[in-house]
Amino acid sequence: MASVIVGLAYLKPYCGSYLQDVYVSDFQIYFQQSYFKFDFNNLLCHGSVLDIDIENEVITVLFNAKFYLIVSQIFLLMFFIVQIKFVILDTKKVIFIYIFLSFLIQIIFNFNFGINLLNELSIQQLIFFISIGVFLNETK
Amino acid sequence: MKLSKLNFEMYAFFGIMSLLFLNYDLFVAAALIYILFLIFIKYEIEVTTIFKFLTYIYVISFFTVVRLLPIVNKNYLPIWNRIAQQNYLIGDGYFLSEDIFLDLQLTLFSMSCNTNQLTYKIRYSSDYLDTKILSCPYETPYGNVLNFIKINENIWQSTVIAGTILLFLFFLVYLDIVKDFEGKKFILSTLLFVSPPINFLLFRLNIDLFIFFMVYIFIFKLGDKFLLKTMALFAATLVKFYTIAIIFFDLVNNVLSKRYRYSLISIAAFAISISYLLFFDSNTQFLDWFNRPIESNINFGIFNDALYLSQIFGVSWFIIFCCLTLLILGFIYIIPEAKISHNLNENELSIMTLFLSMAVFSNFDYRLVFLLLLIKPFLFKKINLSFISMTIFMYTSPSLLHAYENYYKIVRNDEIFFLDFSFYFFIAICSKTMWIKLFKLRSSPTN
Repeated sequence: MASVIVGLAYLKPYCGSYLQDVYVSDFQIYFQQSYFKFDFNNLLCHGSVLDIDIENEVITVLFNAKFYLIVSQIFLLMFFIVQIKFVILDTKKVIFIYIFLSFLIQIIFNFNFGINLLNELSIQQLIFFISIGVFLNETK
Repeated sequence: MKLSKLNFEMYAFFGIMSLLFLNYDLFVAAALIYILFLIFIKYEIEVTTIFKFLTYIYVISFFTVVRLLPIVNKNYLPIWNRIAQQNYLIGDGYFLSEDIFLDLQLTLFSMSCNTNQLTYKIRYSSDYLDTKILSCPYETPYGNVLNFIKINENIWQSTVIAGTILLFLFFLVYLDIVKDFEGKKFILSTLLFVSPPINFLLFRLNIDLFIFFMVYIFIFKLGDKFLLKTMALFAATLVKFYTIAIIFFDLVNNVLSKRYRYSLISIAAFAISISYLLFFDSNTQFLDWFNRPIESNINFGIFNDALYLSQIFGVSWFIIFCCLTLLILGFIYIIPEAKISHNLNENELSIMTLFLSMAVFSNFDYRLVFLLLLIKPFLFKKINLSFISMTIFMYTSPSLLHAYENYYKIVRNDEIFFLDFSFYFFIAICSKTMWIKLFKLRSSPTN
């Protein structure tokens, strides 16, 4: 996790400002969709600010809906299914791994948006996977 | 040691309940964590009479007092905003929480247009809507039957009177459902009654609350009178069509149970309902609502998700719909039969059918109010997977992502799609339960 934070800090001069650095209260945030062609420049700079329109109070942010959905949500689902069906882990390990993965994704994708850690990925999906995962894990 | 444990859990509960009045968004997060804590602790919590009494005061205050105070005195409008989840945003991030009982106002206004009402200004609108005054003709996307109901009263006064009655009735339903529960079951069922979809419903006072009362009274209280029940369901179907799912369930169940006289009644009610739905233009306009994607933060539905995902991935919605169906089948496969609730009677199975039929299309989250009727069977024995998944699903609908306006900086959030796995998991649980109860147990030789 620490290496991810260092990596993001390293990318900062390359990608420019992120939403969390420049956000102005009450501005509307619009996403500029980038294409999912394994263009790592786009992917690594997910959440970087492309344009600030002071007059219209609009901030445009680089964002890839497909990549966001796959990594932040579908990846966790895949892990959940594999864990439930094929891997035997004790409950503590299950909880630790879900929290670790969720926070890792959180840092990569949501931190750059300036989103507080108390949002969907760290609470909503996490709670679902942990509670159902632990409950089903106990039956194995 | 035991005493301090009891105190901690009691204080934590009332602390979290206090958040209801201070900041509803924070309440949701805190309550969700507390619910998980309750679900996974092995010991029981003692719920005393005083504990119950205090809880009732909190709940009735949340249902009625804080909602009616701003009506008595406009200076209390900030309270109304604090009990609102930030999802209730419309119009590019403008916060419109001050529209008190908005849906009830709109419904009553549309009915007043059947007489001689011409215009109406919504109370209390925030600045965004101040210039918007409703004028006749104005139709709500409900059944055509509302076009024949005429009211000639003051809209705002009617809203306040009807709203107050509905809120108090809802509190009575709460009392009726939780009164027999003790310990953790009492706390958990109470927390479900103040969950986000219920708050959303009480905030808007959509006509769904009226349908909920009809279902509660005529199915759960007078359910043994089949003809009366079917008539009530038919009447509800005239207003909002989704209760046709219960009529359909009754039809299938009566045929499978070889109750042919009841089957005839169900067939007649079903056939007339379908004819009514297709015959009137205004009804078919209502069907258009199912065909448009609504923000995932206030909505649930497989078709809705399929429309969103098809936009994101640029493929047909049907392919996505099939993928989501496979996801449900996958969940059905991994759910152990022993972990789900089997204590459902026909009435409760009909509520599951209602939920499953809604889950196919697009529905606003407040329609999850019907799931409250599943609390009793799910908590009949010990807390099981059915109850856990329903609780998580309800507490994350509307989703938390969009709730944290103060902490979450993206105010225009349509583009972030949230795939709610708890929704699909709960569909899988309901489907598996229905399958077991309707077909597997029925065909079992021991049954």
